[in-house]
Parts: sequence; C-alpha cells; structure tokens
Amino acid sequence: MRRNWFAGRLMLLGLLIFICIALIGLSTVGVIRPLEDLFATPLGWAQGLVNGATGAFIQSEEAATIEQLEERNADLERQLIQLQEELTELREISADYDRLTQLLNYVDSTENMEFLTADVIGRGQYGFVNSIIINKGTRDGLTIGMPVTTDLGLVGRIWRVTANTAQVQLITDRNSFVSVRLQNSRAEGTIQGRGLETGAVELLYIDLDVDIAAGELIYTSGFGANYPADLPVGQVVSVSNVESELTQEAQVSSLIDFTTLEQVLVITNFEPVDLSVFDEPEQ
Amino acid sequence: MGYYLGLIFLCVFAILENSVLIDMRIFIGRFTELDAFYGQPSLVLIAVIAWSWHSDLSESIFWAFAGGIALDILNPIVPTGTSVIALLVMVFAVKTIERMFYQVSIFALVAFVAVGTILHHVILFSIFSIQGVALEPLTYFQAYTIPTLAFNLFGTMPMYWILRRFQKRLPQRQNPWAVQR
Repeated sequence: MRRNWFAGRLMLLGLLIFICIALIGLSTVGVIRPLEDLFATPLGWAQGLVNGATGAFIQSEEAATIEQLEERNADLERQLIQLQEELTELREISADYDRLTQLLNYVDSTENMEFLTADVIGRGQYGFVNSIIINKGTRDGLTIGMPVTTDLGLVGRIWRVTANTAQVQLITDRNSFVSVRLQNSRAEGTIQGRGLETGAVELLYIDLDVDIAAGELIYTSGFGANYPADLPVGQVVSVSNVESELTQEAQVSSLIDFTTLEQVLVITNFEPVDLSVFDEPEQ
Repeated sequence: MGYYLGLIFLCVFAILENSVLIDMRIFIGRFTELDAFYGQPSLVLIAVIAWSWHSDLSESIFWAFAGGIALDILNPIVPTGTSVIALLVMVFAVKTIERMFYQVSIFALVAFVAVGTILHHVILFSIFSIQGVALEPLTYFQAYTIPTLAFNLFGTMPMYWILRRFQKRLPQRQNPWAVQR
C-alpha cells in the first residue's frame, strides 16, 4: 500500500516535471510567448509601480547622500587650504631651521671670530652695484667694512650702514676686490666681481708659473687687511692662460647662490685697516 | 481559498523579489562595497515551502506552479518553468517527509528551505549553462548561492509565521480534486 502511494507520488512528480521541461522548451523557442505576455503585462505593470516607488526612495536617498558628500567635500577643501597654509609655514620654519643650523655649525667651527646673524631684507636698488640689505645696523654694532659671510663662503662687506640696516657690497660687484690665496699652490691673487648675481667672479694676477687646477678652492689671504684670512670664497671653474699676458686669470664660482640668500653672518670683531698711510712718503 | 490567496501572495512576492529586493541589494552593495554580493531573499521559494507545510498536496502544487511561473515571467533571463521544477521537488519532499514521520519539527522547514535554495540555484545554473552563459561554478556558488542561502535561512521562520496566521483563518473546505495525503 505504502509502496504504491510512493510510486504514485513519484509518477505525479515525474509528470509535473515533464510538463515543466516542456514549458521550458516551449518558452525557449517562443511558442508560448503570447501566453507569457498575457501574464507578464499585469505583473510587469505592478512591478513598474513598485520599482517607481523604490526608485524615488533611492533617488531621494541618493540626493541626501550627494548633499552630504558636497558638504563633506566643502569641509575637506577648507581643511585642505588650512593645512596647506600650515604646511607652507612649517616648511618655511624648517628651511630657516636648516639654514640657521648650518650657520651655527659654521660659527662653532671658527675661532677668534664673533658673529652677528642678520636677515637679508632687500637687494641693491641699482643694477650697477651688486648688494644686499640686511636688518642690522649701527645699533647692533655694525660699522662700514665689516666682512659678511655664510657657512658657504664670503658674501662681501658692509658698504653703507644706517641705524637699523646695512648695505652689503657683494663680492660679485664689479668694484669689489678681495685678496685671495689658492688652496694648493698658496699663490696670491685678487678676486674681482663681474656684476653677475650667479656668483661668477674672476681670479686675477696669478703668476704664470702657478699651476691652477679646476675645482681648486680659494680662500681670503688677509692681505690688504680688508678681510680676515682663510674665509672660503669660491672654487676655480676654468683657467684662461694667454701667453702674451704677464699673469694668468681664472673663472671662479662662489658656492653661494646670491639670488636666494636669506641669512648672513657679520663678523663683528674684525676691523679693516687702512694701509694707504704706509704708501705716503715720509716727510 | 488558499488558491486565491496563493495567487495574490505569490505575485506580490515575485514582484518584490524582482524589484525592491534587487534595488535593496544594489543600494546596500554601494555602502558595503561588496561587489560580488549578489544574493537576496527568495521570497517565493520560502513562501511555497512554508505554505506546503500545512496545506494539502494539490494546493501546494498550485502554489509551486503559480510562484514559479510568476518568478520566471518577471525574470526574462530564464525560460518559463525553470523555477517551478525546484519548487515542485521541494513541495513533494515536504509532503513525503510529512507522511513518513508522525511528527516533524517545524525547524525542519529551515532545512527544506536550505535544500530548496541550493536545488533552485543548481537548476538555474544548469539552465544558464545550457543557454551558453559562461559562469564559474565556484564563483556562482560563493557570490550568489551562499548569500541567498543566508537570507533565506533567516527569513524562513518570519515568513512561516506570517503565512501561518493567514492559513489558520482560511475555512477548512474539502477539495474534491485534492490529492490524498
């Protein structure tokens, strides 16, 4: 009895599945398409209604989300501007810190010299004088002729001074002459500016028998008593040796970028001496 | 009465399954960033199995046909009759188990839904494969079947509870064409 019941069920199921497979086949080939459309029309209409309702809800949600995103975006942009300002300020502080650290290291490495740190606040107003203006003057103890330097080398010397500012004649100025010495040969010469802010200067009056090598460092010699000895001035770039000349010349480049100079050190305990008195014949 | 109610319920469930639940799935997917999450509750499948738990075989077969055809008509990717096979098999399984054992725990319904979900997906996968749709079985199973299974298992008891409340209020009328249990 039970077996018959089970077999009957199986047969019924088999028959129904067969009907389903037939339906699938007919649907695939499109034979029952009109019948499907008959049912699909009202169902599709109802589905469209529901879709419209949910679509409107989702669109409102999306609109709300877009508004939130716009607000968030505006907030983030404001924060970005603020952070960029802070970043610029911090970079500036960091750059100042690096420069001052280098200057401090230089000061520590030099003996018997007293320095005063000054900020560069301007450049020479006239093109025929290569100069910078610093924010220290006579009130800080500065006087005309004091050498100005950085950790990278000689900058120039104070040319004019007011109570709060001073004008520094750069070594690149055409009227600047600095007595120097070559590091290897110890030969003496004179550095004259070429009026260029690139830091290019000329080394003059070197004896013809002196062997000058490119890359050789040049230091102040202290001759003439305008500058203390052994301050770095620059590096030989090229040598022009003309046989008809009595001396040889060299192109020298300062290690300082004069166009971006921001801080300098004034050597305050050096007093230039006027040696011209010895040139006058005794009465 | 169960026949008419079935038509209404199943049409509503099929429409919901092919509209709201799809939108919901996409909407949630945007926030959860789970692109491979294609699963959604199979309302019709759960409803047919849950209804068949306390109804006679003929009514259950009607529910299986009505639900399956409604689903397939609203889902033009598959030919009509595809979903009916899985529903029919599950209805017969429920009625056979019911007959074989004196008492079956209501929680067995969850197991039937689980088996029905897998069977439904196997049939869908087979139909897709016959139609030449390139599908990776493992990817299909992971991204579609497992999430659907999870939704269905959570949704079985609430669906049973709702349908049972309607079922109890229906007049118990002997159907002369009903197949004997």
